[in-house]
Amino acid sequence: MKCMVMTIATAILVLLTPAVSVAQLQMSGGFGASFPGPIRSFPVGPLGVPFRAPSFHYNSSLNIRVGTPFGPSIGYRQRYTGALGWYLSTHDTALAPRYYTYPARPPSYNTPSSFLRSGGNSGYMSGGAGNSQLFNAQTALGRAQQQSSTNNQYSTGARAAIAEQWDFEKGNRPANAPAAPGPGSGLPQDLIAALEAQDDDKLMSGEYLNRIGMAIGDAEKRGGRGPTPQFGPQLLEEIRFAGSPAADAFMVIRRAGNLEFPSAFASIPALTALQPALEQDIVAVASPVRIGKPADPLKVAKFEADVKKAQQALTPELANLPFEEAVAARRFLNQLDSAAKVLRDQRQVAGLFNPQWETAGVSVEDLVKFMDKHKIRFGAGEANAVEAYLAVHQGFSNYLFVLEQSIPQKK
Amino acid sequence: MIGIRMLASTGLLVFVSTGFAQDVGGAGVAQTTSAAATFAARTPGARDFRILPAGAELKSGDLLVTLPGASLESKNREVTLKSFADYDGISPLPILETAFTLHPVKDEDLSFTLDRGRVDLTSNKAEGAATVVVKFWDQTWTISLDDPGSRVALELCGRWPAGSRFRPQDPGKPGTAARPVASLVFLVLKGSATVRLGDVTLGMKAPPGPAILEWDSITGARPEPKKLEKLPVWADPDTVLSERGKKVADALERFRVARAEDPSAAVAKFLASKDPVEQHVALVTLGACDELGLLGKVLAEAKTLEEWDFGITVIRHWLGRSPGQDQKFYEGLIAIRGYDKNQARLIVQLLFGFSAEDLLIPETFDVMIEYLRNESPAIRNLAAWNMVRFVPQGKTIPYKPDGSKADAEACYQAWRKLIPSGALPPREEKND
Repeated sequence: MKCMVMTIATAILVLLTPAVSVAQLQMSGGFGASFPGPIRSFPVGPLGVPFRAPSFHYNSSLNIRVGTPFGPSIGYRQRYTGALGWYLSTHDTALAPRYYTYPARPPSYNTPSSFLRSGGNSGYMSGGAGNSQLFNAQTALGRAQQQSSTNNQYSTGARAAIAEQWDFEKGNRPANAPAAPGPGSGLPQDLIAALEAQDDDKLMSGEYLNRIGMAIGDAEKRGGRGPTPQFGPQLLEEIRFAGSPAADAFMVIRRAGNLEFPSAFASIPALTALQPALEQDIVAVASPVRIGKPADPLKVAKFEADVKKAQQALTPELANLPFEEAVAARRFLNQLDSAAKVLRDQRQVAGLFNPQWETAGVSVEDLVKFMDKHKIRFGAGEANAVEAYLAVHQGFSNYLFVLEQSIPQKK
Repeated sequence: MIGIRMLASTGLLVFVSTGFAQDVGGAGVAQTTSAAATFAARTPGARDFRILPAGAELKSGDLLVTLPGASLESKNREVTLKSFADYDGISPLPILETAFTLHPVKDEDLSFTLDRGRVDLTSNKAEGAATVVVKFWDQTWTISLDDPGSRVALELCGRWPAGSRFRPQDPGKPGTAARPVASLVFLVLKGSATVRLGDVTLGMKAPPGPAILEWDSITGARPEPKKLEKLPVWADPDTVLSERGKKVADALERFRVARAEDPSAAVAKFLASKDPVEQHVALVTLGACDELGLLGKVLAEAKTLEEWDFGITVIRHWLGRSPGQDQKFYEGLIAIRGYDKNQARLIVQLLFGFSAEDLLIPETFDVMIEYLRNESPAIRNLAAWNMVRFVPQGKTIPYKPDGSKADAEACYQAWRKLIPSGALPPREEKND
């Protein structure tokens, strides 16, 4: 059973209802499901408990009922796992309204989160404050109980995997390809899920960020205004963007001179020979764009021609590569080709790259506007960009909270 | 051509021998109680299976591959083991055949290693508990059939999950190769049973009660039997077979009778049959008895797409049976068929399949479509097999497993038109 941890989601839901400025929470606590604890109740401030706790074997649960502008009040029982669960069930301490930064992430089965030990404040964000009391509880338990509950993770995973293959062999696979990760339907539960960010894969695929971005746009249209968090250039460097040819061009421009070529370029001689030319082409087309000027059409044409040569060199070699390397190489060249087409069009290039982002960073507000204008979405991040994606998630979530709070209520 | 043909030389070809062979091998630990030709036995280290007559003594150490309905009694007659088939395809796991190896007993009544498939164990004791030791993968379970007549079922199946990537084993790092996943379902059908697995002992009883226990190779057994109110349909011996199920059962019985007379002729006859059910029986038998050479030859000469399709299913089942099957197959493709390493790796990868995440990437389809005009028929055919399952709209594109290069090019162009480079497939229109 999935344990849900109250995050900013609840806080925002609390705020969305004028009638509920402070949610009264009733909580039963205890160590594990076999030890039901006493009921405790305490006021929760406007921000609620907006963090995730490591998933250890302690748990407690809360019954929450809040009204929302989306319809009737929502009642649900939420369980806290791990350090938070232990803390809430054993400390009769009101959770003071704090502006929490993102605390420790749930440790994976294999690698404990370094964030657990590195302190509660993200270096990427400005204006964050930590809850040292809670954080200390978490880290203490974290050191003592670095145990992830794997028993339920794959309870039907193996059987489901086998059944899926059997269905596939019989030709029963669903007709449509799985829907590409997107911002979701915009329903409250989609937004709640995005704000809670329980699924690491969906966080790192950009799906949650895109959902919250959509909600921010909607809140702005409804009149939401407020101070916006700022993302530093170091943070932006780790974020991937996708979803349109403009996104491909944006990534190429940002990474000109530092673009990592797929391994096929090392193993296929014809591609190895073309790599220097492509690298030069990319720098040549990106350089003027990086200082706000249009790309040189002749250089863009050469870039396109070299990409075509690379595609022609790759195609006959696809079967000689491991499947994933073949796909990665093909995708890389498709993205370069897509970027070249955008760079050819001065109207599309205009405003695509803002040099200030590399020195001062960008505000969440401006980033959302930029992405909306160029139809860009967050893409899948690298494995080592978890903290960056978390920081962006925190910034987006906080900004959404600020916007929602500022929207004038209809009488 | 599938290209797996021509594995007909040493190493991967096992012919079903004619006639009933003499008893060889370990000590007798059980006796068959079913009709002739329900058991095929292979001594360790041997290549051939021998078809066993009715009432044959079963030796410890022999790999026994059974037809549905095959039954045996332990030497002391206290336990009956019977194998079952999933005629209607309603079992939670895809059971194509059953195989196990018997072991000498010490204090227990029966001991065996379940390799795959479904077996039921019944206590024949007049009083007291009958004990069976069952091994599978890395597990050893001691099952006590507590009451006279108590009966339990075990189903074991393995597969490579979608998205698995094939990696040739690094000779310098033995034991590091990836493994398929396996799942076992243990169900008390009648009476009660106690299961000891490791340090945990579980009491279970037939429905209504804690009747089902699951194990998988990823997380092991969850030592929490689940309660069932009644037997699931797939396990209920009183479940009435569908028309299709009856056809399968009848075909298996005909096969058994033919095999009792002449095993090789039976396989050949059923392979050549126009009845797809009979063909399936023969294809499953070839896979079950490790006759990959003959299986490949059959696929290469497949008369119908359905025959070819099911043959691929049999091979995928063979690959997922246990760890190491993929490496054996890969090495066989290189050593015997003469594929180079890249081709062999790609063939195994195409047999493994791809995940939902792979299908979110347009370039997956890009690359698969390029495979459709590969010089190797095996790669072309496997790419087509996967593509029509990814994109059912592509079933209207004509494809011949034994087509020419021109046919392959035409097929490629048609797929390219359906899925342009860099695009995802169009969504299938549903007719309401």
